[in-house]
Amino acid sequence: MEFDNILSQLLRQEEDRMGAYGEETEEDAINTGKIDKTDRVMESHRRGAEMGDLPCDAPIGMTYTPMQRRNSPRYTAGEGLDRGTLWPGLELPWKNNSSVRSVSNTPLGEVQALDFALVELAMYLDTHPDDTDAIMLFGQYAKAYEEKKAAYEKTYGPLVKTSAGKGDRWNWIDNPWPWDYVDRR
Amino acid sequence: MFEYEKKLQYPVKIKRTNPALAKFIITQYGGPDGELAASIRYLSQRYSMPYPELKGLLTDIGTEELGHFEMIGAIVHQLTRDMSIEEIKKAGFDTYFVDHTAGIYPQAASGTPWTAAFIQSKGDTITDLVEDMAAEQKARTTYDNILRMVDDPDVADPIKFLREREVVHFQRFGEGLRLVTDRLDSRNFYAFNPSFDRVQTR
Repeated sequence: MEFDNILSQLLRQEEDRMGAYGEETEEDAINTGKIDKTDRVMESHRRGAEMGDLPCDAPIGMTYTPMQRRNSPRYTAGEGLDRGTLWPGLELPWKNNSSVRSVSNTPLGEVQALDFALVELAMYLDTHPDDTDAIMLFGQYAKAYEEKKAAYEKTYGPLVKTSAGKGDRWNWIDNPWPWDYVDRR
Repeated sequence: MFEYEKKLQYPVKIKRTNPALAKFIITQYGGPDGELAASIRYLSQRYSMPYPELKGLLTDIGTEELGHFEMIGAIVHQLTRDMSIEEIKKAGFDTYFVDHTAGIYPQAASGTPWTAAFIQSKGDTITDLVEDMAAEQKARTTYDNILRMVDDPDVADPIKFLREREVVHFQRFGEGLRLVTDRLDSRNFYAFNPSFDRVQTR
């Protein structure tokens, strides 16, 4: 399909720029406008629903969901967090309103974006356990996540208990906790 | 087992106190189609699942739903911080306030306390997955209804995120069901229950 190719092209161009999924290059690409978010969103909506794999001769009496295909078009981790999914084909917003706020551009937001990519990919892999491309991508995101998390914890304190207890007080308990309202984080 | 990460999955930063919104958003905390129900449902169903893909899927989605449960708690908490008695009365939040003050209590918007009667764990592979697909649609519709009634973008943004997650979960549970039917005899998917029967009936 024509629009499928345009969308895939846009995302593939973005992949070439990003190299090894380092967080810095993703952010740079979006911030310098090299990835045009508007184009990609408009394409995905003009395209309509993304087609998956249905069984050829399905008997009646059962319900069938199309399996998401391998190498589906994919958002960056930051865009994924902002939109709620890594997959444009599954972005089906209320009232077709796909305008979202960018939340992945704060220190914590960068950690949340990478963690989100891991959660989303793991769930896809649970039903596509033989998708080697996705497994490799997961590994790249996992490495980027560990690095970003360690850097964040150095400045802002532990995100997991095993990172706590390195000083002379038990900083695991320190404010703010995730539900506390703070102006900036 | 469960380990806690000291961050929300998606940020919740609500500048304006508004108990009127908290009154109905709390239904996604302790209501019939809310995140606690989803989490307990999936984490309970996973034990009788026969295939590793499904054990993984139900564990992973059930775990993510606990993170969503936390997000709704954060939303309701921030909407009800620093309330004046005037605000409480004006919002019709007085009946919740009298029993819970500004505490977070798992209940539906109607005031019904959370109950396992909201969920089923049937112990049949196909039945449980179809229940899960229905649950994700019910949650998505509830978020649609919340979005109809919320003007504040600080509130709408995390709600939109949570709604989109339901759409993705629906797809994954549907794929889980495909993994089951792929392994069964298509002449009759209901000949036996893969979660319980060891021997295929002839």
